[in-house]
Amino acid sequence: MKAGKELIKICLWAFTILAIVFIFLPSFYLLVISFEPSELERIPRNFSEFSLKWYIRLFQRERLPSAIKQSVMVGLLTALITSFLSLLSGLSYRKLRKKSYFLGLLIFPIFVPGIIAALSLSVFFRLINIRSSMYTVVFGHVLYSLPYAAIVTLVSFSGLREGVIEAARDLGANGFRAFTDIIFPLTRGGIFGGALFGFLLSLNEFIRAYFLSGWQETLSMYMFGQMKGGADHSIYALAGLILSVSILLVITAMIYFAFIRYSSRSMS
Amino acid sequence: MTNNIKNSNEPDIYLRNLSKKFGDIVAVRDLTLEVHKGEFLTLLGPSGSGKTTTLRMIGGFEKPTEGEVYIQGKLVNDLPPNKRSTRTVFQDLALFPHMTVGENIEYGLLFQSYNKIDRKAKALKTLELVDLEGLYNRKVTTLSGGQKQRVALARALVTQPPILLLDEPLGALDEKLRERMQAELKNLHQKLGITFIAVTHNQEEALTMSDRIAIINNGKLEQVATPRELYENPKTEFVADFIGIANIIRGQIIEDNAGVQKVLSNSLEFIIPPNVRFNKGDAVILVIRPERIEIGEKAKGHKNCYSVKVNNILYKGVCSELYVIFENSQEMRIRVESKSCPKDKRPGDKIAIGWDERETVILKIESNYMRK
Repeated sequence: MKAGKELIKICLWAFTILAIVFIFLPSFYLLVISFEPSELERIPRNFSEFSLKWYIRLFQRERLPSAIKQSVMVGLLTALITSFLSLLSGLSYRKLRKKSYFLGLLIFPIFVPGIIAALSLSVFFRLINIRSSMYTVVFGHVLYSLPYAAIVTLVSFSGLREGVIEAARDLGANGFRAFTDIIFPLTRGGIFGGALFGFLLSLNEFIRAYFLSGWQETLSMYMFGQMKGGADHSIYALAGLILSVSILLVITAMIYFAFIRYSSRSMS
Repeated sequence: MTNNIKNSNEPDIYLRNLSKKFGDIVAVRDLTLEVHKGEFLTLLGPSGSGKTTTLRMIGGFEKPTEGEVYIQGKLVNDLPPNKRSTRTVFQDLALFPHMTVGENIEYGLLFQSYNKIDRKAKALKTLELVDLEGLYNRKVTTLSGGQKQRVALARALVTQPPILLLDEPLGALDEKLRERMQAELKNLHQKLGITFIAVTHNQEEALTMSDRIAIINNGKLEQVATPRELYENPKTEFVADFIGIANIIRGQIIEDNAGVQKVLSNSLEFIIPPNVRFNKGDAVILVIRPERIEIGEKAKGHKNCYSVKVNNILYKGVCSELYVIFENSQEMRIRVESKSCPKDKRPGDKIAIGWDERETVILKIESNYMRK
């Protein structure tokens, strides 16, 4: 009986580890082959063969820096707008009675296929005579990332008790001071989380950017173009770079959240 | 003192024909109440009776549907909480979890013209008032329930409000701590001399702490009076039943040939207190407190004297409780000192009980009174 339980436990763990390996291995493989100096798509034979050749080549490309700059700009703007809208959704969520309808409406865009969202937006912008630019991409990316960001923000708002806000008002704070002194400090984890989602989702998004961009391409568009044109291995270097930056950002965020949770542990 | 108040000026709080509806639900209906300056008044009632809603309308957290709220003579219906002179101790205390004890207490002072040094001095002084010296730098999340309670009090009191509102202030505490805090709150009230308005569903708490109690039931104010007055002279059946233990006899007014009025209840007649006069046939209730009933030889001296059957005798230390039943199946609870409780009586035995009719309260039953 006890041995059976042990076996099940081992199986479950094995399955979990396998699943995690399955999720991360392809990306990791990409990262490793980016260090192979030859034109072959393979893992470097031994440690001394590891080379930054493709990374160096990468930064010698003309179009890349402007694509990175464009992506970072779009990402930051998306993060800013998305987190602000998430904050507004959190504030209104507090006051609403039919919360589930609001939540459904907010999350619905997740289920609209990217290509349809992209196409419809581009048609719409043409209809109202707005020319494609960085801002149209940002618009598309805000629509795309808002549901995810809002969920993260709403989670932190659900831990906010109405009583503390009333206490602040009772002690003399007007609505604005209650926000800056109480609501924001207690929900900023969720708001920053929303911003992070906005940035990362925007950075990695291709289809909407492809449909809505003006002449300046984003990073993911640049990569797609390179792959189609049969590029050299510097594309792997770029992939490795993006992956590393993303992982670094997420780890930073996790440490930050852990810190917040630690410093206000018994908030609930 | 009473004279003083009447002459000085208007009451600290005046609620006039106050009503509050949430959709179709009427939480408070047509409530009029005056709270005097420096008084400790408790709103007491069962849960859902509208007492918290009433307090929230005074604090500015709910807007009355009808009626007016006056604080120190000023109509405040449209003023938000931060523009009112009241301070509240919330039911769940609502301490700011991201701030230290000191920051919590000083928060209210940020909106008054104090500099940092003055704020800290005032916070430290208030901490002393609530016996929390030395906790200034602690995170509120590390405090015990009783300490949190005191921080919430200190936070509300530091700005020296003329009126303190307390919403179930001791609700989160365990029985022992609760009793101690009751006494401390009462002390604090006497020391500060400001108006306290508390909400509680705990009868004993209300009786212990308050100068006056307002009994609220179903959104309606049943009676406002001192604890003693409520117990000895309830004005409604609800109050009689709610405060303490009441034996209630329902019946009708009858008159004998000499014109003396009595209550007829299920074929038994009861003498009513003197100095009251009803119409023949009025539906009334007689309220008799368990400790006002006497048994055995002593009972026989009263005009209200009956032979009843003992159902049960419960020994409770100083007192004993007898559950008895009349021949018309009216039940009654009696409390006597244990030393005068007959030791030979067993359930099923007959016993004589009686009471002075002046010790009873008689109330005419409103036809629209709904029994809970």
